[in-house]
Amino acid sequence: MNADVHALTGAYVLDAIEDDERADYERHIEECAECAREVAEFRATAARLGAVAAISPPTQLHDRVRHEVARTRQDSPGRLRLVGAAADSGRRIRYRRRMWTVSAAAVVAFLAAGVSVGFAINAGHQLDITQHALSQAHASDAPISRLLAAPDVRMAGGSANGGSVTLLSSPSLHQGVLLAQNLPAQPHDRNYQAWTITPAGFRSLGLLGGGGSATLSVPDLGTGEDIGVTVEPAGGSSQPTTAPIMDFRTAG
Amino acid sequence: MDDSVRALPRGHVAAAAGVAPTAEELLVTVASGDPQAFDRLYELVVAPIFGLVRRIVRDRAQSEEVTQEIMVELWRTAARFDPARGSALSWAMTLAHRRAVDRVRSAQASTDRELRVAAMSHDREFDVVAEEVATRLETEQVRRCLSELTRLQREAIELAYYQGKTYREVAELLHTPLGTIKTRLRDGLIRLRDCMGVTA
Repeated sequence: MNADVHALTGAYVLDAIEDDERADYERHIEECAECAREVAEFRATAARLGAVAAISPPTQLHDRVRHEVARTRQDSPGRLRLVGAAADSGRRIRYRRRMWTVSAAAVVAFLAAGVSVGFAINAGHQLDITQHALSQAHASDAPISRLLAAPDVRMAGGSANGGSVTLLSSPSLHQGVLLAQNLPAQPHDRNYQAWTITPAGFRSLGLLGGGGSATLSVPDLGTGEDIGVTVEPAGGSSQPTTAPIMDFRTAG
Repeated sequence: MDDSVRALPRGHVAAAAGVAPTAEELLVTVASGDPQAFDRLYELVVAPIFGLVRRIVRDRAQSEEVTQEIMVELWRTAARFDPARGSALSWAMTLAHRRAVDRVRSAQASTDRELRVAAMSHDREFDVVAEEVATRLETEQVRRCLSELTRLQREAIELAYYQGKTYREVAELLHTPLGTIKTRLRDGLIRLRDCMGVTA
């Protein structure tokens, strides 16, 4: 890797680089143990700079945080092993989940470009949305065409064991579509089931088949909802019976 | 407070004296879903987090909102913390900085007008920043280490870290070539690291 990228360590740790450079840099530190160590040292250094600015927040903030925490499900270490094995190598300390939005024009541009596009979901793991999967779905499914045409179409997604699930959604249409890709094949008596996860419990969004690729329309989709995917007995369950293999939040 | 604990935020003092679990131990317990451990962790890290967010986001209400999001994220992702790879505070502050910067960038994304305005008034702004940093520093060590940087290193790091500027914005504000700013951010951090005796 060239010296130019290497020189970005300081800017990277200070969050002073653009998203595309961040992605380049993170690929760089995958292969550069020395850079990874420098990043860890710089982070500890920056934390000292931050800590000297300490100010106590109002006490009500603690109550609000307690309230939120009481209704927030934690990421489990089991799921992290599945989802973030590579990303969690410790060379990056980033958020695992991250939402992003894209314009319809951008989606169409990706389709037209005919290339595999990697979206960084956060701790650096990548969700590949291939031209093949999207265009195939696009051609065969009217709801997807409508979504792609919506001015506020968003994407969110997760991946596990080489497979991925992408959610295209539009708050204005209150609709979404889940696109599963390359999910590992399950035994005949098992299939994948998608859920929204709310403080009130789980609501089934439907089945995603026993592996490979599938699309699933999701009517009545809100924003900021947690989506989870589990492996369930064929035919589906009324409530999840296994731990999610991935989860992510719809763009709010 | 004796010199050995000056560099640590307030909550760490008790931990250093051996009367309370460390933030690292607490985070590991939090990962198992223990809300009491989270309450104690909150007390340890919330002031550094809120202070950093305030500095970057400025607006008080928004800073509280962002701090709340950060604390909830610490709860949610606690299982990813690995004590072998750095301190809990370093982990928390990394997350906090990123979140705060995300907030100001999304708020400013639509216009570069602010940047031009900031560029016109940047000399005055730096004086204020330098003074704020100096008066707020709780540790002589950090102040001393910052003062040992060149002016360009210090200004570049402060603009990036405390104000959430990208290095491109820093270059513009300081009327300095991009490559120079990249280099100053890195060699400034190297100097700070060595001055503070930080090891990963």
